[in-house]
Amino acid sequence: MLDAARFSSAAVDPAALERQWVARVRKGDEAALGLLIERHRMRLVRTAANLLRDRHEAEDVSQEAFLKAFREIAKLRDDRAFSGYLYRICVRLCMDRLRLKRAELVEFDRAEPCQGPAVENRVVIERLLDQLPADLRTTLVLREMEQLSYDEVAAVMQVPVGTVRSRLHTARERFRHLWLEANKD
Amino acid sequence: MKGPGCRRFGRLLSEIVDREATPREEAFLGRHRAACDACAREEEAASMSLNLLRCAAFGTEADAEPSFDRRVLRRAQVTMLRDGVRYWSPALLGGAVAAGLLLAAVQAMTKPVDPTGSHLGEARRVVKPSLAYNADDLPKTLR
Repeated sequence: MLDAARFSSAAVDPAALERQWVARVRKGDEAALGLLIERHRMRLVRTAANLLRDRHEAEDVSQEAFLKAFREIAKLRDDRAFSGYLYRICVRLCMDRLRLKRAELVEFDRAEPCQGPAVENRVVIERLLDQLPADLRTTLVLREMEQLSYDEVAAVMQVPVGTVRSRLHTARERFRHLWLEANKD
Repeated sequence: MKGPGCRRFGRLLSEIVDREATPREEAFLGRHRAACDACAREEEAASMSLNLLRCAAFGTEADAEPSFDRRVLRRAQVTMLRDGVRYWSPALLGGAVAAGLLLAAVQAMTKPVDPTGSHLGEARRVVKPSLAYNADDLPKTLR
């Protein structure tokens, strides 16, 4: 049934198709729910993984984001806004987790100082990103890893474009300094 | 010590990540790069660190486990059911209380009178008049 639904609407453009699915989910159609999950799963998990640097945690957050979006789908005024809405929820949940993690990390670092830079690039990058505040880290990741435009980053983070620009400037500078310091060691 | 040229160089470095430098800016960057080793090193570091950051991005390999969709669907169903119950629970509770009260009222009205057991039965019991009495039933002073 799932395939039939997909096949029959293959000629329709993706945005229109998504609007249909959202409308069907509102009426309690579970097949449409599955289609929406399938459509957005990969992007959501990838973004969460880039932000959190942990694939399992990324799956958890994506799941939470889907559930939250589905629960509030009735409140959504415009069916076209669903994907942006879902993405925003996911980024927000990631930021909440990053703030929590950062607080834990600061506590940990006070108790036990860093052992020195790691060898592999990904590990180094993760350690450097961990040292950035959640706002700067999210802006940097969305722009550099997810390659969103300034406008898209602003929409996702719900801040003005000017704020994105200044955050990005600060984030890049801090990241560069952190990277230089890590390489000094 | 960083001069105003270094500050401009730093600001431009950040700006030209996202846009093309104008010929005038390009000329300034070239001049300053040649004159200031520290800024040239910073530029190299900026470029390398950003490249590393981009390379460390998760790509298609960051897809969820195959059971992900099923898990989300199941949790969504449970959540919807729970939300539905929560939404209707005041009405359900009110209905249950009303039904209970109605049932109790109907039962009380249709309950048959027990002539021997209940107080009402005792009150309605007909006592036949008789002269015979049991002396044990009388108070001691009258016996």
